[in-house]
Amino acid sequence: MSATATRDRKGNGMRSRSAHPRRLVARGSAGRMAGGLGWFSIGLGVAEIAAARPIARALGLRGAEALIRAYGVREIVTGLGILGATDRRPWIRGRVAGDALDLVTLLAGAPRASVAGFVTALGSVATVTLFDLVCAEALRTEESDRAGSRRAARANASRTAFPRGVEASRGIARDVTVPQDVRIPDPLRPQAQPGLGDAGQGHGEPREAANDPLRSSHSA
Amino acid sequence: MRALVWHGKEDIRCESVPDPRIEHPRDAIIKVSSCAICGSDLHLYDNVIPAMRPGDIMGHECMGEVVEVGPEAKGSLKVGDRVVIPFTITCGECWQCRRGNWSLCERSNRNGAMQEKVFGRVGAGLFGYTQLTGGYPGGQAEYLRVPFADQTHIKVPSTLSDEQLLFLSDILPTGWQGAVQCDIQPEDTVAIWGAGPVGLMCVISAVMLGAKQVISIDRVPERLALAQANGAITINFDEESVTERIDALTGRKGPEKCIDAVGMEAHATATLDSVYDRVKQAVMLTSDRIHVLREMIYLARPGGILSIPGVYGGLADKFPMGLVMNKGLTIRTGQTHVRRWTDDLLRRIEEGQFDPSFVITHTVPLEQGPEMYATFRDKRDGCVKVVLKP
Repeated sequence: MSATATRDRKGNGMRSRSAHPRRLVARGSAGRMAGGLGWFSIGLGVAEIAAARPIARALGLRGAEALIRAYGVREIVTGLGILGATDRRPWIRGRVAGDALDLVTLLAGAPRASVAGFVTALGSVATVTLFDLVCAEALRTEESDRAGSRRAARANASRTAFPRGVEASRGIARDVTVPQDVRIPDPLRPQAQPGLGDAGQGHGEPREAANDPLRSSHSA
Repeated sequence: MRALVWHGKEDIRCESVPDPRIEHPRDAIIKVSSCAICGSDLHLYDNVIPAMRPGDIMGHECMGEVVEVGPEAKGSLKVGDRVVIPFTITCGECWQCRRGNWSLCERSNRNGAMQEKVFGRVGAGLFGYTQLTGGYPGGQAEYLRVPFADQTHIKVPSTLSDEQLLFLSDILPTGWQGAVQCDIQPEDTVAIWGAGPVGLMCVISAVMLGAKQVISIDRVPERLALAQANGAITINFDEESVTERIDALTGRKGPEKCIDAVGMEAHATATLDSVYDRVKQAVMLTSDRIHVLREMIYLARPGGILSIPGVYGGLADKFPMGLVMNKGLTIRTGQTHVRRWTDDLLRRIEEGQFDPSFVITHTVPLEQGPEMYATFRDKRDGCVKVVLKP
């Protein structure tokens, strides 16, 4: 833990304040974010293969259409890898590496690119790189949390409130006096109706229904 | 003295503040021996409940030793008494207190006029829980001033540890009331949303009250493990459909009794209504995220009871009132009438029927409180319940 500590304004007391950074991505959401990036990757890859020529022209990379198509294949493979993998972390790290390659390629073509095309492409790649980095970090944090959770869950599996055991304690407080204002008033309490079967406290149902295997009752 | 002081969203500091003093003849001062961070404190930490003021002292779960007693409280308290302090401040004399509705005390909220503007009528004053509930300094501190101290205390024996007793201040009677007001019958299935400290108290209460089947719903494995260890069937909503599993467990009838131990900051997977709540809350068009309420209303067995100990702060959008009406559901909610339940609960703890300290995962000095707020809120480090030692 890393609380920061300083003297207060008058110097007469300790002040401490949380230095814990907030999660960038809500707990449990990193996987969904990775999935989104996987689909994005596939979409981008298809676009790069299908429109390699106009993309190359806009980015000042005439003659490098084959390279752009290769990048498209890389994007599709990475996307499929993200969507199909149990552990998505290496694939997202692969996307970050691919982003770096994209940036280098963009810079190489910059002298021949239109200003608008270059700025747009650079901004897009930078934004996507940011998402990839956030996702990679979120996946790393989640895996670390999961490992901690598994350890804690194993430790908690035997922590009980009941010194006599759960089963011996089930119903131990049935002697409680439920205050009148939080009891179901007797006239409103479910009552078993004569001739309709009885499951105590009115949870019964018509006998024919109770005998119907398609409507087996959990409480009957 | 040192205390945990609210300064803004996610900004709680351990600071030196003036010692409390007797302000009214019915006051007492206690030296706090143990206090805890409550899940509802996190709503203040996240600043989703309004009317906190920078400088307010946090905390409404505490216990300790009486060190000073006002002249009008001397009949029922003396210096040296060991007491747990209920989070609700109660006069013991008003119309509501005389009927056991301690959390609705009509006199203890000194900012009643402010609360009336928001809620229409006044509830009890609470320790460390916004200006709306009286702006009383809380118990995450070395000392606490207890207003109406002759009524606002639970005397406890020296034979039990702080850890066994501390939760009488809030989460134990809250979980207990959440289960008792379900009027649990031996053939009932009780489904409990949330396996935080209150949810776990609901689990053990429902087990002790004799429910046939207790279901605990959460996403945090270590909390679900605790629920399971205490007799619940668990559902991890990140891994399986709550609807399908509850249908399977109840023969498609639904649970007779449902308990919401989550409240206004429900997390959920990517359900449409959760996303909708998030967006509306982000642009301040709603205050409460009510995914759990909607799910309970949808899944409950017709004629069932919904019990809501989880904290809600204001407005709820897309509340399926039509389902509530057509399914004939009963809703019971409210702040906990702590003193209604504590004599009985204390007796059961003394008799060894149960020990609520099983939820404690972190015991740290008060100075580490700010850090523990973040740890608890983010459910890091296996954190379920934090006890602070001033």
